[in-house]
Amino acid sequence: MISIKNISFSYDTVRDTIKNISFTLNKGELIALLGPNGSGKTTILKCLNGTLKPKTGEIYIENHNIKNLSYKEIAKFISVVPQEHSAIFSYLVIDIVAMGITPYLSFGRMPTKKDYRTAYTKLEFFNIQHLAEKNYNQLSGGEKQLVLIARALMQNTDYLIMDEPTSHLDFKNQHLLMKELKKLSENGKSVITALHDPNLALRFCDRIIMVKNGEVIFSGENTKVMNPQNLQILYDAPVSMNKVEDVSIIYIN
Amino acid sequence: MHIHNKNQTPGQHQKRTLLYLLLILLLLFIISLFVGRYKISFVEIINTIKNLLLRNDIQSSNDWLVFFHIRLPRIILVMFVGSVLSITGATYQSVFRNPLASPSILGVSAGSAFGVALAILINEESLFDTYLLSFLLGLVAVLFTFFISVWSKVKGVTVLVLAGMAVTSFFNACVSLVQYLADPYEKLPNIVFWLMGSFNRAGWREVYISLFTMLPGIIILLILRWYLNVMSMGEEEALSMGINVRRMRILLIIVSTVMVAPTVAVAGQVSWIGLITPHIARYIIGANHRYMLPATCILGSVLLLIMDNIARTITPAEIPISIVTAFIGAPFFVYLLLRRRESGWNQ
Repeated sequence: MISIKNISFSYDTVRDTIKNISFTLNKGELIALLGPNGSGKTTILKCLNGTLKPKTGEIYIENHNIKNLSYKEIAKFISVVPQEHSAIFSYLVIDIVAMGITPYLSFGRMPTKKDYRTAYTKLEFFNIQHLAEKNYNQLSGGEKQLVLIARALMQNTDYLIMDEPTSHLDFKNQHLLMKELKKLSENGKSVITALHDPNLALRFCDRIIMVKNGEVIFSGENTKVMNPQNLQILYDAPVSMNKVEDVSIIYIN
Repeated sequence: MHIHNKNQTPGQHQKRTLLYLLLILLLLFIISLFVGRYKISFVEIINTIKNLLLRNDIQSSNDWLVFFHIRLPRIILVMFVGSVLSITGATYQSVFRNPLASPSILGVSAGSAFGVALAILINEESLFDTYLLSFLLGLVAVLFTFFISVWSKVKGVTVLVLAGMAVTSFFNACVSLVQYLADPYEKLPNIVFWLMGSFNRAGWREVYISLFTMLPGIIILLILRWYLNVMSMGEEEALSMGINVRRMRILLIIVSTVMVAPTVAVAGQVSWIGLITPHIARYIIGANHRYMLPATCILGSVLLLIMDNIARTITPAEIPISIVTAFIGAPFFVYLLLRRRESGWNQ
C-alpha cells in the first residue's frame, strides 16, 4: 500500500501547487486522478515517485518513508509510464523495454539474455511482440504507449503511475489502453493515472480522486463520486450524465 | 538487437560488426606505420623485431628509429585521441540529449586551448607547463560553466549548454588576446599551428600521458554505457528507472572533461571527430549504447588515423589535422543531416 499523508508542494514561494493531499493506493486498484488543467494532478504524481520532494507531509511505500529510499529502491516499488513521446535516438523497441530492468542491475552491469527474453514476454502480454525489432520512433502513438507500459512491467513493480496516457491516442486506442490497465489491476498491479476524460474514468476505474486548485475535493468509489453535481463543481461546467444502452455517458450541455 | 523470437540470442549481429571494426582498426594501424614521406622498409622492421625477440644485438637503423620513435607513438596517440573525442562526444550527446553536442560543449576545448596558448606565450620550451595549463584551464572552464548553471534560477540541461557557449566564447577571446600579444614572428605561428591541431610532436612521453589520463576514462565510460541509454530518455524517466540523474550526470561530465583536456595539450583542437563519429556509429550499429559506445571508440580511432595519414602525406609539409577533419567532417555531417532518418537520431 502507498499512503500519502497531508503532502503540500510549491514550485515557488507564492502559492502551493498542491495542498494537504491525502489518499491511499491499495493493491490491485485502478485509480483515476481527475481535474481541470493546472489543478495539480501531475505534481501529485511526481511527488509519488520521488521526482519532486513535498514541502510538508509524508509518503509511505509499503511502510517505508519515501524520504529514506534511494531512487533505485523507489524504482523497485513504483514504475512510471510517461506520455508517449519520441526518443532522442532511434532505439529498438526491445531495447526500450529492456531499459525497465535498470533498477535491478548492479553498478556497471547490463541486461542479460534472460532479461531480453523477459522483455520479449512483456511485449507478448500486449500482443505486440512483432514490434520487438522495430525502431521505437517509427511506431504509432498507441503502439508507443503500449511499449512504455511494457517497459514499466519489465520494471516489475507493484505500483504504476501514469500521467494522461490517453492524451495522444485516438478514440479506439484510448479504450484499448484503458482495457489493458484494467487487466493489469485485475492481475494485482495498482495503477494510478491522471485522466482528462471522465467517461474513461467512469467506465474503467475503481476509485476516483477529484483535484481542483491543488486540493482533493471529492474522493471515493467510482459509483459514489461520479455524479453530475461533483463533476460540475470540478470542471466549473454544466455537466450531465445519461444512460445509453446501459452505459453511463458524461457530457457538457 | 535482431530478435526474431524470444529464444534468439540478442546482439549477435552487433558483436560481429564490432569485430569487423576491430579488424579494420588493426589493418589500418599496420598500414599507417608504413605510410609517410619517409619510406620505411617492411622487411627491415620485421628483421629488427625478430632480432629484438631473439635478443640478438640490435643495430638501430634509420628505418627502425623512424618506426619506433616517431611513427609508432604518433599512431598510438592518434588512436587514443580519436577514441577519446568520439566517446566523449557520444557521452555528451546522450547526457545533454542533444545530437549536436560535442566535446567542446562545456567550454573544455576552449579553456584548454587558452592554456596551451598561454603556456607557449610564457615559456615555449616547457611541455610540462603546456600540459598543466591546458588541463587546469580546461577544468576551470568547466567549473565556470557549472557554477553559472547552478547559480541560474532556470534549471536543466539547456542552461548548462548555454553557459558552455558563453564560457567557450570567453576563452576563445582569451586565446585571441594571447595571439594579439604574442611575438608575430616566433610565438604566434606556434600558437596558431598548435591549436589547429597536429600530432607531429607525438612521442612516447605523450603516449604515457594519454595512457594515464585517457585510458581510465575510456574504461569508465564503457562500464557506464548502459546508463547512457536510460539517461537519453530524459531526466524524469531516468529517475523513475532508479538512476540518480544529477550524480550520474556530474560523474559522466567530470570523467569526459578529464579525458578531453589532455587531448588539446597533446594534439591541439581537433574538430569534428567528436561530433560525427557517434552519428556514423549509430548508423552502422544502432543507437543502443551497449554496442554503439564501443563502436564509437573504435571508429574514432579509425577515422582519425585515416585523417592523420592524409594530413602527413598529402603535401610535402604536414598540414594541420583540423583542416583535414573539417574538410571531411563538415560535408559528411551535411550528408548525415540529409539522411537523418537513417542516422539514428530523431530531433
